[in-house]
Amino acid sequence: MENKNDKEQKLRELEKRYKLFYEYAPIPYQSLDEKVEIIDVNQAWLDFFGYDKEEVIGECFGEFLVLKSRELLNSRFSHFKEVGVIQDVEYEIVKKDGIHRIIWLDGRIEYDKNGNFTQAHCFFKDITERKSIENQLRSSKAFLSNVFTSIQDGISILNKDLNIIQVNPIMELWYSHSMPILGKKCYEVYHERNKPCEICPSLQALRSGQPAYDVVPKRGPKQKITGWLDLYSFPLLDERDGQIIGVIEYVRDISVRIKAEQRLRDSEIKFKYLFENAQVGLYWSRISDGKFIECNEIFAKLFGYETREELLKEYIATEHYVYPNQRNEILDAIRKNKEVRDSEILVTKRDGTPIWLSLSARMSEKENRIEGAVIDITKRKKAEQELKESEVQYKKAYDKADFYKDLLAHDVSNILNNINASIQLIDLWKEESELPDNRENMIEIVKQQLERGASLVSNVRKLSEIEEGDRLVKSVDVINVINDSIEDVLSRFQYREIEIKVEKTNEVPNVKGGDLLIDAFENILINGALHNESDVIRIWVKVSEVYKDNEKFVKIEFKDNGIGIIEDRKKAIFERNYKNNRSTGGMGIGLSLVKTIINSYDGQVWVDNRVMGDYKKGSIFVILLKQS
Amino acid sequence: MVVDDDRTMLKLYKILLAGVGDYSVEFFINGKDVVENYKKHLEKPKVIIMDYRMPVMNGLEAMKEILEIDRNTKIIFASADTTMKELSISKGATAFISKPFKIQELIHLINKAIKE
Repeated sequence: MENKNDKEQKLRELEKRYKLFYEYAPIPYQSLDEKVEIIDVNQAWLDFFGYDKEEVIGECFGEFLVLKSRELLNSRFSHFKEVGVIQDVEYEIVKKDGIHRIIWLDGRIEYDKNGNFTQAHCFFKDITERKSIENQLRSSKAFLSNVFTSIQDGISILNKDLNIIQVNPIMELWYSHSMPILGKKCYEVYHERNKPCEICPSLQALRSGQPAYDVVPKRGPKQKITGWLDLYSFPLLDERDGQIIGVIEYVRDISVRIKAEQRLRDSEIKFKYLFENAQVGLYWSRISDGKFIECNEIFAKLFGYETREELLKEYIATEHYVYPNQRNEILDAIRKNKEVRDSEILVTKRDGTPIWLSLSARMSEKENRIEGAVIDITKRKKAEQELKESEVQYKKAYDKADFYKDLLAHDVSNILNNINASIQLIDLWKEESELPDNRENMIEIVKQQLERGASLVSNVRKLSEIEEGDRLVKSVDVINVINDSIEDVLSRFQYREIEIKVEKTNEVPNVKGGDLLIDAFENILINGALHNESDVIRIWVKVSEVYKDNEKFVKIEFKDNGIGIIEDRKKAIFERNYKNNRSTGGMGIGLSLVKTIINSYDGQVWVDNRVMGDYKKGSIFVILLKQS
Repeated sequence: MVVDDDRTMLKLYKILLAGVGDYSVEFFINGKDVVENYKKHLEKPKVIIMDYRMPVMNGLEAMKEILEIDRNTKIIFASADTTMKELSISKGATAFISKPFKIQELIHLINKAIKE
């Protein structure tokens, strides 16, 4: 039997051990009195909070809690006292350094022999990290759940036997006709088959352990294909041993894309067909250097190439514009109006042959590209040119006909009118013997008009000849031609008294002339005789050498004492032909013929007054002919 | 007044009009001259014989200017171009005579115009 002292000794040792355990225990400990004030704490407690024991003994435990926890403390402590035990009661404490921590408090109430509260013994553990991990895990789970439910692609999780163990709402929506889905075989739900599909990426993933992909049909009721799906299958591994335990199917509806791709393919085929079979040349070229990037066969053939490849290899647009500025003009026009339509351009083929093209084009500066279509309009342009030439010829023929009609209507009519009036007057006077002079005058007028008519006919013929053929230019002795023309005119005007004098300086050199020169001189002489009311027609011909513009000329001047030519008519009298003004009146076409002949020999002709300032004193016709 | 660009015709007019009556006659070779002389005359001519095709100013233009001065001026239009008949009358000519004309017809038209 142990004696009392031994027992006491054992109790003291036990108390000492407990005290040591209490003092050095790694778990924070505190004892509280009835007012929740700290009676004692161990070293672990002090280390945890960062205080010295003197700072905490007697302080209310609530002083070390955040407000929210402090508010809970009193009611919880009352309950603690009643039940005597608490476990894992959560508080948020504030350490001396201000850091917050979350703790779980365990405690037991110590009572005296009579069952009255003595003190509360409490241990706590820091669960801050655990709480944090829990929160993170909770957030992560919620996040994954949100992803799983909100993702707009289908997700289906299968086990190794292809049983569906989980799907997201999208899969339920797509396969609502096969609900319930879970627990069924994937091929039953998704394809209404009774065995796995021949091509199945999930089976492949299960067998290989590697992700697999394929495009599979999306089926509605009765296996009807309603679209197409991208199916990505990922093996699902056991976290513990890495063994394949199933497969995650990620499914994306690509029906719209497949349709669009199909439409694009169809469209490409159509456009390719159009491009290759179009009856117009189609091309792409680079803006920067005019190199062709693409074209159809028609385009290549337009430029004389057998194949488009040949053209693309060697033909450069910039090198083939007949008018080099035309390409820049086209580019400017496209920049201004975004496109050009039916612009006509002239380029050359491979062999240099010109070709007219009607061009419609637009361009993308960003892509340095011109897209264009061309049509060969060479035949049309040629036809247009021929038509234009034909119109010119027609107009010329029309003008000629009109001119001769005008000559008939005016000049011939005047001649006939004069003859007619003269004869009527002779008739009127035939009984009046006392008027012989008047009768003589009338006869003279008739002769004169006949001469005028003859000149007109001759001039029409000459004018026509000049217009129709080339004239031979040769060296001509101008004095001989003048003498011949004088002789001819004198013979034609035998009924009038005419004096024609020729004056020349030194030896006159030959001139550039021809067979028609005599007609030019005759017309000037006839004009001087016809339009002359003097009793004696006087004409002075002067021939001399002159220099003009550093060139030697022979100058022939025909002065007359005729009625003269008013200033307003001096230019017009040379211009009467089928191209110009015909309202010169009265003087026929003789002087126009003169000008035509002289100009054809590179000569010049004009008219001045014989006496300066008085046209009524007669005219002086001046002809300059180049020395031969 | 007589205006014609053909001097032979003017000579013939001069001869044949000498026998028409006791009138003085002036002769011109283009429309511009006759208009300018018309403007100068205080006593306007009884009648004007007007050719159509003339240089500087044609008969229609000359007639228009003269009628703008005195719309009652008697103008006998004489032309080989018969298409001018309707046009000249519509523009105010008193009468039209086609070339070549009969002298008696011209004299008749002159007398008629003077009497009107």
